[in-house]
Amino acid sequence: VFTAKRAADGTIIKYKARYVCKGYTQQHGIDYDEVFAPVSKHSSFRVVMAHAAKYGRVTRQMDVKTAFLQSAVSELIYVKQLPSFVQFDDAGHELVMKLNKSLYGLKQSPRNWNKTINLYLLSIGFINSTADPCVYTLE
Amino acid sequence: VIDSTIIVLYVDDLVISAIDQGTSDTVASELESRFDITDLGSVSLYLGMQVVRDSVTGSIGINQNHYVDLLLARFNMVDCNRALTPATTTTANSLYSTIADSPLLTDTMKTTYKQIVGGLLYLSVCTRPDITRSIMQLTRRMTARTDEDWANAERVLRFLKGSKFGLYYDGDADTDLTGYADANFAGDVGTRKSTTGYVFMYQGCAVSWRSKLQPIVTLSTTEAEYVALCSAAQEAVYLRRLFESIGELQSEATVNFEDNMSTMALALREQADCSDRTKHIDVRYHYTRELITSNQIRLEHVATQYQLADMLTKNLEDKVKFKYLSGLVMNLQV
Repeated sequence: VFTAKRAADGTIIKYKARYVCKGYTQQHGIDYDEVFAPVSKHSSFRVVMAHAAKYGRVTRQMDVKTAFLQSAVSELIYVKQLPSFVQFDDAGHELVMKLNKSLYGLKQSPRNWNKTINLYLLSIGFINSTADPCVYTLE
Repeated sequence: VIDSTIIVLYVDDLVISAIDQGTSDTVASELESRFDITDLGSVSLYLGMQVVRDSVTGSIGINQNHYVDLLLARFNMVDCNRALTPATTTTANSLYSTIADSPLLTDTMKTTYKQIVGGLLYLSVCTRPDITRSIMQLTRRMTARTDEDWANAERVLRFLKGSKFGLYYDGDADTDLTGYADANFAGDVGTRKSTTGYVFMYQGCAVSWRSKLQPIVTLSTTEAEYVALCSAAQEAVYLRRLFESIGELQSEATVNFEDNMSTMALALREQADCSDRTKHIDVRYHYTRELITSNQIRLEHVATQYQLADMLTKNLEDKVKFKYLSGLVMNLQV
C-alpha cells in the first residue's frame, strides 16, 4: 500500500509504503481462531479525566508506533513475497516468508497487539480493572 | 489506593494518569524501553477529542469542536441557520414515519443520511449528551428514510453550528458519583415502548449517559421508570467498580435521583408484591432491590424540573429548559 503524506497546504511531505497482507484470504480454524480484542470504554476515559481534574493529577498521552508490527504472532503464518521483489530457491520454486511479527491486514493483528501490551503491562506490575479490562492500575 | 498510576488503553493509544510528574516519567520510560512509542506529553488530543487543562484549577474540558466543523463542512452546512435545540417535539418518534406522505429520498441522499448519522453518533457517545436523544431517534430510522428524516438530521447539524461546547470537569469541586434515571412512558408512537434515559455526574459534569428505547412494552409510568432505574443501577455497578479500581473508594451508596414516587416505593418495598398493576414485573424488582439492600445504590427524590435525565428521554420543546438542563449536564460555563 502506497500513500503520500501531505501537509495541511497539500504539498507532499513524504511517501509511505507499507507491506500489508490480505486478511480476507485467511481461513477460520487454520490461519486464525480468536480475533476479538478489547478496547477501553469512552466512559472509562472520561472518568479517568474527571478523576485527574479532582486530584490535580498529571496526565500524559503516548502513542505506540506501528503497534501491530511490534506484536508477536501466535499462529504459524506464511505470506507471499512482495511483487517484483520475489526470490526463488535452488530448484526455482518461489519462496514464502514466515511471520515473526504481526502485519497490518492480518485478522488477528489487533488481538496479537493487545495480548503483547497486556502481558507487558502485567509484567511491570499493572493490574486490569475488573470494570474495564483496558484500564490498568499500578499501586 | 489513591496514589496509584492509571493507564487507559485504546489499541495503540495510552493515556496515563499519575500522582506527580516523576511517577509519570518513570512509567513512560519503562514503556519506551519496551516499545517504539511516541511521548505526546499531557493529553491534548485523544480519539478526535480535544482535551484542555486549566493550569490554575486543574479543571479538564473535553470537546470535539474541530470535529463539528469538519462535519458541517463535509455536509455543506457551514452557512446554515442555527437552531436552538437539536430536535422539535414533532420529530418522528417512531420506527414508522409519522407523516405518511413524506417523499422518499434519492439513493444518494439515503447514503448521505447514513454518513451524517454516523458522524453525529460519534459526537453523541464522546462529548455530547445534549444531542444523544436526537441521535438515538435518527439511528432508529436508517432504513425508512424520507424528507422528514433528512430534515431531522439537518436540524441536529444546525443546532451544532450554534452550540460548540463540550464537557467540563471542575477541578475545584469535590463530588461523589451521582446518577439520574428517567423514562418517557410509551413515547414511541408506533410500538408504544418507552425510552430510558440516565446520566451519571461527577466533578460537576456527565461521565456516563444513555438514551435507549426500552426492549419491552411497559404498562404504566411507574413500570417504565422502573425499567429505566434498573438500567441506571447496572451502569452504577460498573462505574462504582471502575472508581474502586482507580483508587476512589465507594464506601457510601451511589445516589440515584428519581422523580417518580411510586417507582421509588416499588424499589424500596421489602418483597415483591402481588398488586394487580405490578405483579408481572419480575427480575428488575430483585436486581434493583438487591443493590439497595447491599448499600450500593440509594434512591433520592428529585423534582421533575431538576431531573437531568429528562433531556435523554424526550425532545424538549422549551428551549430555555433545554439550555438549562444541558448547561447542568455538561457543566457549561455560561
